[in-house]
Amino acid sequence: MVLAGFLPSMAQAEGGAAAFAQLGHLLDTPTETRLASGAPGPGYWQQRADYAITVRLDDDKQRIEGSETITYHNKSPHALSYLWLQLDQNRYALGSDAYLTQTTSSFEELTYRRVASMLEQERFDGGTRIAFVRGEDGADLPYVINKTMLRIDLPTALAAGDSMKFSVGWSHNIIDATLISARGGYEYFDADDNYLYEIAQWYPRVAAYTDYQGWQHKQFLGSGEFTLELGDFDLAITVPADHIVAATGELQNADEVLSAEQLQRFNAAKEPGDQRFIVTPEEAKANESGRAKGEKTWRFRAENVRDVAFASSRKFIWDAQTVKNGGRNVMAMSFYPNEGEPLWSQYSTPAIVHTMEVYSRYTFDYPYPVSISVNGPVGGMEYPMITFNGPRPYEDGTYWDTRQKPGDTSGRRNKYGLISVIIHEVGHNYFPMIVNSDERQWTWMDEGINSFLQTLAEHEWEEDYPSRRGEPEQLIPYMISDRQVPIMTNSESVYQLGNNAYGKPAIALSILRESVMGRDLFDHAFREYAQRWKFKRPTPGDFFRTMEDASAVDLDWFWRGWFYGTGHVDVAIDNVQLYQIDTRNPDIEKAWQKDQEEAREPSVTESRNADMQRLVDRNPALEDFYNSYDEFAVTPWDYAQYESLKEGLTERELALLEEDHFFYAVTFLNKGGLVTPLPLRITYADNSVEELMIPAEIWRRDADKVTKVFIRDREITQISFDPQRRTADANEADNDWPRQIRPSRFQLFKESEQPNPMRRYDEEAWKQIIK
Amino acid sequence: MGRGALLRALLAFLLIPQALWAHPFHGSYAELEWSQGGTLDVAIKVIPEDLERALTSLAGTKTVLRDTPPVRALLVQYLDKHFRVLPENPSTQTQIVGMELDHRDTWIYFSIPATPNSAPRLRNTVLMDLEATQTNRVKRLWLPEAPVLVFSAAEPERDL
Ligand SMILES: [Zn+2]
Repeated sequence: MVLAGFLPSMAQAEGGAAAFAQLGHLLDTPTETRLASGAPGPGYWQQRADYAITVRLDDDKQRIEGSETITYHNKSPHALSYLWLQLDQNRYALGSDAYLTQTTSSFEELTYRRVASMLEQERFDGGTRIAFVRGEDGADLPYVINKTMLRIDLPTALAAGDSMKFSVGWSHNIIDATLISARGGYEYFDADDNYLYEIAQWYPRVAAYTDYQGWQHKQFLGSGEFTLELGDFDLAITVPADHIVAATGELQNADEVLSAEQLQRFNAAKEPGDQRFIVTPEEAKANESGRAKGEKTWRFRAENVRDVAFASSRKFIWDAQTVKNGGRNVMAMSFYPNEGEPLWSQYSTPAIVHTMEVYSRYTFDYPYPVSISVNGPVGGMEYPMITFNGPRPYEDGTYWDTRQKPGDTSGRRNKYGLISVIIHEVGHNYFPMIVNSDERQWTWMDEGINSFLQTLAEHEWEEDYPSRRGEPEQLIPYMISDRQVPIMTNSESVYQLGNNAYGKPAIALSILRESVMGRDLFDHAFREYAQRWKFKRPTPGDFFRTMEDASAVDLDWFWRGWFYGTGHVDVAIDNVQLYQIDTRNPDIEKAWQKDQEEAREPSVTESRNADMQRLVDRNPALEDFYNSYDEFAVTPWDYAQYESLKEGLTERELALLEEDHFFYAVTFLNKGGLVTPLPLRITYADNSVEELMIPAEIWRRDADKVTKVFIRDREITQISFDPQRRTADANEADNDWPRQIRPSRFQLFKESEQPNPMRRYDEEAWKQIIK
Repeated sequence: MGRGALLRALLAFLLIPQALWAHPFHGSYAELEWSQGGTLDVAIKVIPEDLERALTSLAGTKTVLRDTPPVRALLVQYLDKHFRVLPENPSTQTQIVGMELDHRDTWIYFSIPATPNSAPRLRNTVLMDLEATQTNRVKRLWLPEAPVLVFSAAEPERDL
C-alpha cells in the first residue's frame, strides 16, 4: 500500500480556524428582548405612533401645506424627556449636509443634465418650514431643529407605558424630480401643461426609538432611507377637483371624490376578478385639458404601517384587480399617465399581483387591503401599500414585442425594466415595511433580502427572464474589485452601494439556498425569520441567528466570510495525482510495469537513434546476461516473495490487495480567501458523469489548501470545479483538471464573424454596419 | 462650456423627462487585453438605460440605443471622452468592433490604439457624467490574479 505519505496535512490550523470561528462578540449579547435563538423575547417592545394628517396640494406653486396630530405611545420601559422627529425634506434645503458633502469627478465631463441638476439645487428653495408644534392643550411646545432632525422638549417626561398627543404644522416646496434625483417630487408635462406629483418623506415623522440603539436620529444624507414606528393613519388630502389621488391606505370617501361612473367601476373592481379600468386612457387624455375650479378632499385610512405616501395628477389612468391573498381580498392598482402606455396597462397590475403571490409564499400573507404602483418621475421607490416606478416605453410607444424586428431585443429594457422595478418596489412591502429593519443603519437588510426575493419572482414570471442579479457569476466583477467594504457597513458609508447592499447579499442568499443549506432547509428558516419579525424590528444578528436556529446548519463561517469580509471565491484545482494499490502479485505488477514502460514516449534522441548500428551488434562478444535480460519477466524468486508476503497477511488485508481501485489525490487551492462548498463534476473514461457537493467545512482546518482523496473503481478523465457556476468563482481558467482553454469575451466576439442576432434579419442593415 | 451650449441642453431636458433611479445600480465592467496590432481591446458591459441617457445627452435629442451608424458615431464620440488611455495618441480614435444589446447584458466591443510600452494609465469616467455614484470596474486580462480596478468620481484615473 502506498497511501500513507499523502494524507491531508493537519498542520496550518490557523486559516481554517479563523474562517470557521463562531461569530461570538460580533453579534449583540442576547437579552430577554432579543433572544440567542434570533427570535423576539418575552421582554420585546417597540414604540407606536398614530397620525391624523390633513394636507393641501398647491398645484399652482408646487407646494404642500399640512398639519398633523400624532399620538405617541411610549411602550418602552424608559421615561422620555424629549422626542425626535425626522424632517427628510431638509436634505433639499440650501446648504444641507447632503449637498455640502456631494462629490463629482470633473466638471468638463458632466452631462448638461448634471449641470442643470446642480443649478436646480442652488435655485430650489427646499426644506420643511415648521409652522407650529403644540401639545394637546394647544400650548406651544419648545423644539430644536438640527438639520434633518427636530427635537421636541417635553414639559414633563413621558413615562414608560404612557401616551401623549401633539400637533405639528408645516409646509414645503415640492422638488422637480426630473431634475434632482429624489424619492418624491413632481414631473411637468410641457405638451399638456400638467403636473404629476409623487409625494414621499413629506410630513414630520417620529423617529424610531429602539432597544438596540435608542433614538435612530442619524442625519439623512440621501442613501440610508429610513425606519419609523408602526401606527394607524387617517389621511385627508386636498387637491384640485379633477385630480386622481393614490395613497397608502383604503379610500374612505369614494362616493365624494369619484364620478358616478368611476364609483360604479371602483365598486365592481373591489370584487375578485379580472383587471379593469376605473379611469380609462381616453378619459385620462380628456382630463388633461380640463381645469376644474375648486378642490376635493380624498380620505384614506391605513392601519399598522410605518409611513404613508401619495400621488396626484389629472393625467392618471387608473386600473385595478382584486385578488385573494391568504384568504383576504387585496386590491392591486396602477396609476399612470398616457405616456406609460401601452406598457403599463399590460404589465403593471399583473406584476403587483405576481409579486404578492410569490413573496407571500416565502414569507407571510400580504396583510394590507391595497397594493399600488404609480408611474411618474421617480425611478423606483417604495412606501407601505404604494410604490413609484419609472420605466416607460419610448415616445413612439414601442417596446420589445410591439413594433421591433424579430430578434431585436434592444427594446426589452423597457418591458423588463418595468416588471423588475415593480416586483422590487412592491416586494419592499415585505422588507422593510412589514419586517421593519433599520434602513438608515443597514441597507442590505431590506435591499439585499428584497433583491434576493425579486429574482425568485422574476424566475417565476417566464423562462429565461433577463434577471440582472439572478446568477452568482454576475457578481464576480464586484467581488474581485479592489475598493470594497464589507456588507456589514453603515448605509451612508457603503462604497459601490448597488453591489454591496443589493447584489452581494442577494447572491449570498441565493448561494446559501442553492449550494449550502438546500432549498428545504433554507426556505423553512427564511420563512421563520419573516414570521418572527413581521411588524417588528430585526437587527442583522436576529437574521443570522434565526437562519441557524431553524436549520441546524452552522453558518457562522458564511456570515463571517460573506457579510463581515471582502474576500471572494476563487478555487483552483492545483494538482491531481493518481495512486493505485500495489497488489504485490508479480504477474499483475510486472505486466503493469511493462505496459507503463512501453507506453512511455521515446525521447528525440532515442527515436532518431532507433535504427542505429551499435557496437554490441557488430561485436557480440561484448554481450552478457544483462543484454538479453527481460526486467519484466516474472521469476521464481518473485513468486516466492509474493507467497511469503501473503502468509503474513490477514484475510481482510489479502482481500484489499485484490481490489482494483484508483486513488485520486486532488489538491484544491483557495486563492480568493472566501471559503466555499466545492461542487464537483467527475467525468470517467466510459463518459459517465458524477456530480458531487463537498461542504465548505472541508476548509475548517486549513482554509488555503486541502487535498482530498477520491477512491473510484474507474478511471477519471476530468474533474471540474463548479461547472454550473454556482459559487461566484472568480477565475474559471483553473477550475478543471486537465486545464481547459477559455478565450476572452472580446476574442469570442471578434472571431465569430457573423452578424449578431439583431442584424441577421435585415441583410441591408448588417452589410452596411459591419463593413 | 459656452453659455449657448448649456442653454440648448437645458431646453433639451425640459423636453425629455428622464427616469431617475432612486436605487443605485450604477456600474460598468470592462475586460481589457492588448492586441498584437497595437490596440487595447475592450469589452465593456454597461446598463443600457444609463448609456442611452448619456448618448441622448450628448446628442441633445432622444437617442435609442441600437446598433446603427449614427449611434456608433455617437458612441465613438462618447468613448473618446470617457474611456481614455493616457498618455494619448491624439491622431487616433476608438474603433467600435460591435455590440450586444440586451436588457440583462449590454456589451460594447471597441479598440483603442495604444501599446503597453509607455506605462499607460486609464481614465475611465464612463457614465460618471450622469451619476455621482457611478463605479466602473476594469479587469486586466494580462494580469489574471490582480484585483479588478475600481474607477469612481474620487478616483477616475489609475495605472494599468
Ligand atoms: Zn429597493
